[in-house]
Amino acid sequence: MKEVFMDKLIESRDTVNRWLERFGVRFGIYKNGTFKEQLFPFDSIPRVISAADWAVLEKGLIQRVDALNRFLYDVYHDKHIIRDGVIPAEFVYSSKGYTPECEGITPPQGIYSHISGIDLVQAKDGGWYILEDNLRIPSGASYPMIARTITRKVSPETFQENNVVDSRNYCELLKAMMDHVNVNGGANVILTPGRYNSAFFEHSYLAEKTGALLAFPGDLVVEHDQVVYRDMYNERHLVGCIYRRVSDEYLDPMAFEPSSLLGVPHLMQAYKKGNVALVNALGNGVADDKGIYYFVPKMIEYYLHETPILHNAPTYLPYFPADYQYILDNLERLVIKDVSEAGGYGVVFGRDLTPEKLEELKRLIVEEPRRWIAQEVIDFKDLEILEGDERVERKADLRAFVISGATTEVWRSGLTRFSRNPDSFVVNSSQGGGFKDTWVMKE
Amino acid sequence: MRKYIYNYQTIIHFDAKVSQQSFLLRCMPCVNACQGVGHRDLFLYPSADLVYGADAWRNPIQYGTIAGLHDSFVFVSSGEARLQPYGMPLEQAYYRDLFVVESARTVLSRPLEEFLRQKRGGLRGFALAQALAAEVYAFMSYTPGTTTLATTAAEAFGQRQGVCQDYAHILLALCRAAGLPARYVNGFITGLGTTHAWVEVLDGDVWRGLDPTNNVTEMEYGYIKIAHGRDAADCPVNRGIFSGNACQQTEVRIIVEEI
Repeated sequence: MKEVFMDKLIESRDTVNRWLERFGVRFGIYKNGTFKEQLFPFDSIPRVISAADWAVLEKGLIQRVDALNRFLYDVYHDKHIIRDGVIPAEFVYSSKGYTPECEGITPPQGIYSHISGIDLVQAKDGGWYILEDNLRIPSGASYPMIARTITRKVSPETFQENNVVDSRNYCELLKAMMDHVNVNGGANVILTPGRYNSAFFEHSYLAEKTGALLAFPGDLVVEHDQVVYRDMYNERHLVGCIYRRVSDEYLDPMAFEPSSLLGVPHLMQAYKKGNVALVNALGNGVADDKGIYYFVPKMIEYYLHETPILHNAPTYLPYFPADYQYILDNLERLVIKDVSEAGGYGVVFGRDLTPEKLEELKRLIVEEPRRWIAQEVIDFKDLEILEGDERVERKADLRAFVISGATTEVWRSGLTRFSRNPDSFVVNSSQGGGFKDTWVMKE
Repeated sequence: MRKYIYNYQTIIHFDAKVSQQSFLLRCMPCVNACQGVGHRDLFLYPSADLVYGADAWRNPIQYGTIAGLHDSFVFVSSGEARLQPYGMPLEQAYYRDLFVVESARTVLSRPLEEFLRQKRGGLRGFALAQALAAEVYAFMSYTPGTTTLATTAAEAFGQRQGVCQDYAHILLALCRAAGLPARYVNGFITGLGTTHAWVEVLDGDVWRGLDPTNNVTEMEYGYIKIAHGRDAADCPVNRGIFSGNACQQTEVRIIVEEI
């Protein structure tokens, strides 16, 4: 099947970008200590995923997120997976994301990762590979949401004539999930670090669309181990669920980073007593650590007794003797990642290194095998984008959003990011990349 | 059994009024196989609803919030502790794996690794930990004011100076590098006037105490424990946050006596 009525949509790129600007669809970055907001350039050629492809992706994503949730429960309770020798203990306890404060706590409804952002790439052969799991505060769903709303207005024929699944239900999924985990029928709240957070647009947009209260630091207090929201009249409203966009370490200055002004003092105690749901749960970082990524296919086999549907990029851990030798022998072909770094830092392509640098990296791997992972370089399938009026091919990835509430569901769209630089594999918005709508087809 | 009375006071003066002060204290002795308590009391000024709970390591915590304006904050923890010879069984099997991993303040450095290599001899297990405690005592000189609460084991070791917290961190780094599960302990001892830090090392299925600051390698009596954790960051006596533009001055007094 071929998409039709596309010309008007594609020609409307600049119009859509102007609308996005008027809606304040921006993201902030800090550069040299100053805060700057940038537009997130929208490309009007959608990524199209066929119904058949999507069916596989959907099944695979649900499987993966279900296994990750099982792992998080296990790691903070009986630790079967460690005791059975599937994951070495030191990978868990030396992970930055492992949070001893969460030991023995069962979050409301037993759900840890309510909103999972799973990053994938499609290889030239059509196969999908998981790049990373984001189980803490994955952002980005609001951009394709608002872009879809605008493009449907700008070029309604396109959506009448093509069998595209309507993706405007993201906030319904979100709200249903929050209601499901809400512990006391109190308010649902979205807690933002504030105006100068890079994703502030998203926080305010999601609050508006889910009917949740948008809370700033200081609006929430803990009284008698219950969380209350103080409104502008200083009236108190009981809170039952917090979709927090503040990371674990800043969430409660009494339990974590003591200098944090972004958190809610004693929130940990309220959470521990089951008096509030936190979306996502605390402590999830132990499951989306680069070192733990290697073990996710094993988790799927271990917890679900199923064969993983989606594959990791082929990954090697120098910690294991067989992988160790392979990495040293093939270093110039591999990507090497420092497990303690995040956000594109600490990623080195062996082929870019001089022989001296390669030797130095080998030495580092020999000294501290636990610190590194190595991956095969995947041959990405490029997507077309408009550069001026010309169609050119660029690298792109896909962040799929998986919502775990009463059931686990994949949002039938996603954030497709692309690199505008022809030589770059880096699709991060802070590096000047843009985004596309992601169309999932009905048939 | 031996009995001790303790009285631990902290007085914080603010030079301007503050409000909305949240605090979390670890200032009351814990209860375990070698430590019981008689009466226990916690006095707080200004008064506030106090909640008694436990932290990640099941140490007792006391927390609350003082909403109104105030310019001082006082807490006095007093009572009677009953001690058996020091030692307690391993509480959780996974602690064996967890407390052997280096923590932020006990990251191994080259000099620490070299020190371990030189001093380890043919020793293993708890005997090695005991020897290391004595070596740390001999290597370091006790010099208040040369380190801060944030100093790491490697930094203190590099300057060969520090206080009990630094001695404990160094011993932890060495024990963990040698594969021995070890943890940081905060508590009271007699005749010191401030809180003290020491180390527990797992010997088989029992945690035993070592005090590298005082060269104590056979810990028996006189150590009243209030909290343990991976390092000092896990067991501060007082954590707080308040609204207001004020500087604070803190006075601490501790009296511990055997009765």
